[in-house]
Amino acid sequence: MQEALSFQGVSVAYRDELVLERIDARVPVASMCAIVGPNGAGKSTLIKAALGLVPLVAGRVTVLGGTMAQRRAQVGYVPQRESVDWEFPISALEVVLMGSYGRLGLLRRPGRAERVQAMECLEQVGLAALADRQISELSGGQQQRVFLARALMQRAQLYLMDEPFAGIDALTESAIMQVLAALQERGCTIVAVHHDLSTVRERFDQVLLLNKRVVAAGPVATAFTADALQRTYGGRLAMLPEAASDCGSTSAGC
Amino acid sequence: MAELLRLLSLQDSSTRVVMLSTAGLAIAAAMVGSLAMLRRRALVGDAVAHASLPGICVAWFVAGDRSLAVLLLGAFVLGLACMATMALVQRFTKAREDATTAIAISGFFGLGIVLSRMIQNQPGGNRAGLDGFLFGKAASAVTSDAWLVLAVAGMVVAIVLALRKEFGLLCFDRDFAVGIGRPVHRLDGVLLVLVALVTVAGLPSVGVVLVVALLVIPPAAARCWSASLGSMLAVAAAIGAMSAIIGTGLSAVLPPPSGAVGGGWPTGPMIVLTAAVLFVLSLLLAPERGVLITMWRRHRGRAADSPIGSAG
Repeated sequence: MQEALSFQGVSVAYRDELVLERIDARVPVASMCAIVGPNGAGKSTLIKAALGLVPLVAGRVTVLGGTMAQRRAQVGYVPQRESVDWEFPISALEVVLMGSYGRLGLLRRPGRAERVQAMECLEQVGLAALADRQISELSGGQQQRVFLARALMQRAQLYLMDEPFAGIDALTESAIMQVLAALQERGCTIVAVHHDLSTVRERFDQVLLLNKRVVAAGPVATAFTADALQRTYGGRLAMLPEAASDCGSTSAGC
Repeated sequence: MAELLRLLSLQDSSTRVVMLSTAGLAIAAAMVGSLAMLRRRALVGDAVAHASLPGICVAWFVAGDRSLAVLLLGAFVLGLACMATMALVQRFTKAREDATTAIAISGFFGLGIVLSRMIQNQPGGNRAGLDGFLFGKAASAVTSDAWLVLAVAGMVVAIVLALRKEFGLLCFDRDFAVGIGRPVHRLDGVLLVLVALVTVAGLPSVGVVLVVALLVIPPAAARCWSASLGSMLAVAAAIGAMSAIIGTGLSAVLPPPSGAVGGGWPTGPMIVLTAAVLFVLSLLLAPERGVLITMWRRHRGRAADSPIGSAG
């Protein structure tokens, strides 16, 4: 099995409008893949299509050599932070425990073993001290890390993440990068929607440039070219194509 | 006063059963209502309640047997029909959700009033009985009816407790629930059926017009006190039970309004008023975001910030 995730001719529509058209893409096992594209390109929809959150009009998604239904237990998910109500009456630890629900089934509740595991996951993202905090008391970056800890709790092989780096502080950024690197070391695959073009090169080894269709896909070295970016973003990319390839650490303007 | 004591000490066995059943129902409604509120479906109960009036009338016409169980079954069926109608309208038209709900509530209620007027004109059409369903009967219900309500409430509480982890996940993060393969449509369906069950079971004591309050007020009050789903369910249940017991007791004990023909105060409004008082107290006294603690903090903050200003 070479591919962790592959899309074969996947199309998705909202109402009557196609938002993804005949997506063909492959993500190799143990890679870190960025899904990149302008607003409305269908980046989140692609993740949701893989998970079965939105119905496919056409095509097929293969996950770790099987269908999503067969492989759910091996897939972790980090939704966009804004997708939930952070005023919800629940503590950070309880959110992380949700990562164990998949293996617990409908009626069994998490016990002592799961709580120990959940504390370890919070430890990995540097939030063990805040385990009992109500989630509304956490900062945006801490909330993002709680979601990551919940995904760790899922003990998956493939992690699908919707903008894990959106609107976070520097501390959270390095904490998340450490966790992702450790996951990749263990052979896990990470597919993340990513907004910041300037950090694609340093953080990811695979890239999927998307604008309703696949513009380019493959290793960052070959697929993440100025020409492909230009075709993905059209005139909306303010930066010169050459600059995109070596803007490196400066994120301004990207 | 002596009678109030007698009531509250539950010496009278039929009062005991009725109070127990109303309290049990309030507990079930508060727990289901907490989930419905967190799932942003708080008003579904109101639609079900108003659709239950024509349901009761239809059951009255159709069934020869006019026991409470049969009437409530009619209410339950029409309540579900009302929810299904709203779901279909939502799915296949561009009508706004709030408009759909308002139309369903008033439409079904209007139909119910027309049907109940027809029953009133029938031989044997006992209008007082239907009036009881509008505002709740005084605490003199038949013991067997009380047991029925208690059984429904017990079943609802058992289901909520058994599935509370799943309901919590569904309410907090539906997408994640789908991601781990949970049958979210079925869970949503179970939640709606639970809402319909407690609503219909609440009709005899609280009535069509006010029963939604049992689903909404105790959870809203509990929200002020709790930082987890478990504590919210527990506090809502406690507030619901207190409202039911105090409200039922008051309606039985207070001297009837002067010139009243049909007995004393209806229980529904008493229970709802009690719950409303507990809600206001919760808003004022809550430990984290209560009005009083916020005002005190602001006052202290201002005093610390501007010592000169406070001197002037």
